[in-house]
Amino acid sequence: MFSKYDNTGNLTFFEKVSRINYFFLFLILILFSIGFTSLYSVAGGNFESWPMSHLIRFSISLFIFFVLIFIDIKIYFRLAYLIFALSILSLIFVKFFGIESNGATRWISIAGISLQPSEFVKYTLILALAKYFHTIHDEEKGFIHNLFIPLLIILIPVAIVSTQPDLGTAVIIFLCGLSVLWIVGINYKFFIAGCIGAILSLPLLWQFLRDYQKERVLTFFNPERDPLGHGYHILQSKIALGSGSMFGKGYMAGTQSHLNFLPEMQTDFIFTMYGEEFGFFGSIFLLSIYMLVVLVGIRMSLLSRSLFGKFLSLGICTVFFIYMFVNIGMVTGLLPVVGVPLPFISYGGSAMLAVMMGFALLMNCYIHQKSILPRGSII
Amino acid sequence: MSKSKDFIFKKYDTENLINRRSALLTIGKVGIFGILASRLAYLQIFESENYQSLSDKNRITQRLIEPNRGIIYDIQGNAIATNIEKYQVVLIREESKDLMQSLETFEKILANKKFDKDKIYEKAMSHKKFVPINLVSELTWEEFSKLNANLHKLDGIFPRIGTKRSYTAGESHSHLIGYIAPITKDEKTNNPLSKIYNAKSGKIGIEKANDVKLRGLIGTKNVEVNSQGREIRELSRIDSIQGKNIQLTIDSELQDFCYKALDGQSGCVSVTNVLTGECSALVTSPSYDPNLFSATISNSKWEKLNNDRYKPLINKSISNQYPPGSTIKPFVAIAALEAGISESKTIFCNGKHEIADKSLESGVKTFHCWKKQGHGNVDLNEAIKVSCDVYFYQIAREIGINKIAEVCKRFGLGKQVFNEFIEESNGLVPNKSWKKETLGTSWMVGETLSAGIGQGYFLATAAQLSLALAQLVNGGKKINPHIVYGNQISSENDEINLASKRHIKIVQKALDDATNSVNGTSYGSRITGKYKMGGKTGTSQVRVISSKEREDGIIKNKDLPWEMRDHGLFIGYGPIEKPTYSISVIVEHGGSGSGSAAPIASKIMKYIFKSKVNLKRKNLINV
Repeated sequence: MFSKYDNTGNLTFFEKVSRINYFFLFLILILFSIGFTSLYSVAGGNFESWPMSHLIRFSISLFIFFVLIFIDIKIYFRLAYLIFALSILSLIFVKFFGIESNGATRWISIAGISLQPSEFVKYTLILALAKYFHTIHDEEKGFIHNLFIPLLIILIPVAIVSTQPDLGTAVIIFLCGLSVLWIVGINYKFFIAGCIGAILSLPLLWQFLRDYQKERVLTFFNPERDPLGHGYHILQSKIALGSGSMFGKGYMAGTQSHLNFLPEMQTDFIFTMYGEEFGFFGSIFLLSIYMLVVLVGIRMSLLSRSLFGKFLSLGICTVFFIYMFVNIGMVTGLLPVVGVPLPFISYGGSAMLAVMMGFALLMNCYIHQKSILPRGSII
Repeated sequence: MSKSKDFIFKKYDTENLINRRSALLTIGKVGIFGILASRLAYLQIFESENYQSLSDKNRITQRLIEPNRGIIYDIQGNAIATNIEKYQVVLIREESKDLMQSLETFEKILANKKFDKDKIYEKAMSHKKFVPINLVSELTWEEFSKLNANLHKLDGIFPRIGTKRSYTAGESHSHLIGYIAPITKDEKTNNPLSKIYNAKSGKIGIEKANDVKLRGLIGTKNVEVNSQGREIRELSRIDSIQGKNIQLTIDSELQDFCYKALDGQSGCVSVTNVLTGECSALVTSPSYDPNLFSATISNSKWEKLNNDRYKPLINKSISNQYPPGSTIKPFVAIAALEAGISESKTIFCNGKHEIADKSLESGVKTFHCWKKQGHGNVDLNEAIKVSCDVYFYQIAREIGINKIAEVCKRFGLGKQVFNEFIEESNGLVPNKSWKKETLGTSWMVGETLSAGIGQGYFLATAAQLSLALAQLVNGGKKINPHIVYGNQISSENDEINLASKRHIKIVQKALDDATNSVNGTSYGSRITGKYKMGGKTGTSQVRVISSKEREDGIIKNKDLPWEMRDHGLFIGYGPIEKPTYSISVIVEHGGSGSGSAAPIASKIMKYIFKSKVNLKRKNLINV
């Protein structure tokens, strides 16, 4: 049972390099390449603008990825709460010193680089929850420890982000938190009760929504209700995808996209442009790559010996999946319009860096899968 | 690692629970993957056709191409209405770095142009940035080239060449050709060109009468547009088809000559080819600049034209109706001959003719001859020659109004000549039933007498008079009056229903004598030489002369205000031996036919004889 990897705290650098999952890395490269190509099309064949900085951002993120995967997992474990606390602080910082755009304050600028702390908080939350459940697991703790405190941890970032206001991201953070609760084995009855409770409280929640948020939800249920206003984006997106047909209109030949009928093409609606130009087969290909990343990620997660590693890795896979699902669900008209980028494809630095850092943690857990972590709470 | 034992997680149950939860989560994810994939299949495969057409609807817009208007030629093949290039300047906001700067420079270069740069600036800002805004719609060639030379300084300002209608034959053609102007709301239903912004249609004259022929067919092009409506590229095109060219029977030179012959007097001329029915000239004076309406006309100009007492905007040759006066006498003579009155019958003219009228105190109503002392014994030939009114009072009374009206109508009075102009009048040939229907009162004998000398209710246009005379001097052949070449209906063997050809000969001889023998009313305007002209003067009163005035002596025309003077008329034809052209001249308030109208007709006829208009024709249209 005890192999030479039993205590992996002392892995050499080359041992770590040899334990990297290169297939996973290869999948990430494919996704990035698709993103790069798509942005090249969005830019109308101009390399200088979006594709260029997408490449630079990916390179920086990749570098950080490699730095992060070689740090011992125990360090992350030890610093988990601190990291979470820092990211909460950064959210609060945004609240007061952030840059406002389109009526929402989501960005901070550090040394000329704009960052969106809400992108990172999903991962730090999972980090904190993973450590929390790793620590309390197996002890016969009551309702307060098993459910109340974790929920509180989840609701802190959710509350702050929803006041930015960024309801979409808040809901996603909440879902990410819930996914960890599910993985750690909280009784499913709570989930059922929660679902029923949520549905019952919907009318109440409706009262708290802002007007534009209500519009979005209404439009989601009936996009034709306001085809030139709020329904415009989603209608145009569906037209673009649908007219792409089986094989697409051809690379850089999407009419909906290149004639500006599509909004936010380089960010939230990039999948639409991709789907218009590469058709159903292209879409399914991209979707499959995403699914493959998630499945490989889950398989990597389950190899972790420590609960911390398992929870963290599975949580990260779920975050990645939720991103993909919400974005594609949105552009195909299955979900309301929420500003969620498509990982590796959409243009955006924070999301790119965040997802790469998340995957760095996942890869780190994989490399240090045999590591044994302490049970005691160390803050 | 002394504490390792405590750290190792061994509890199988927990491990199992986590694996189970992960598996369920994974199944959930795969399920969602399935949902997304089916959604994509639904959009991109099953609903694809629907979305493809929606996408095309988004990106493809049909733009209309305005056709060029047909060209109008005269009988000699000269273009009298054409399309010419017009020099415009447009502003495109997105091409300009500093809009106001460009506008200021533009203002400096064309300093003499009225130009409100703030208004243009506002207009440019309120439109999409790629929409061209009209800066100046018409420039001269000099201004245009000056602008082109300075183009490098004019950021965002571009010269454009458009087309506009141009009337090249001058003022003499203004009324005849008419003009075009933007299509109005009530034309929208039957003019396909109304779909094009700012498209024009004929408003009056030939332009209006032949609008359908001239307008052409709209072309279309399908263009790919982006979401802002900017044209990206042209996908397909069906070119517009230029309107049909038309050739008029009008001789432009003759038209011009007639206009000059009127010499600014208020009046009109109509020249008809008596053999073919072609209208060779249809002139109104005074006139206006034919290109006046192709640009926006200033209010002051419009007011001036509208308030001018000579009414230069009205086409007098077909719109204005005048009492024909003595020019009706040849037709009354035909009626008399047909009614059995012998041409040798003489009537004594003592200067007046009396009829019983109970409404008057004296019980008699007196009708005067224009010659106070009377003409003595006159027969038909003499009566026409000296234009004796008493003779015609007498025979009119004998044959009755209905006979006169019937003959006049037969020769073409009382109905539109060309039947294609909206501005053409019907004229009026009165008879008993007409009066009963229109005025509700019975016909009175006195009215017959007035009608016998072309006064009273009688009204005719210049075009009607020249047509009526044409059908008389051509030997009673019915001709089809037309003004657009190729529009005539073959009517070779149609004859005006005449009792005897001899009647025409008698009247024709009288018309010859009236001009070419001493004492004839238009002897002063005779043409000497190889070809001669025959004709009849007419003077129609526009006022009632009271008996008191008659006693005191009738006020001479030149002492009356212009509006009160008599109209001067003349109808003529030539050459005598082989009549080819008939002419009618009306000089409004000209005083007398012999003094005002006949000399003009003579001048024109001389010109016709000299230039042999008929030889110069060059038919463009094969019929």
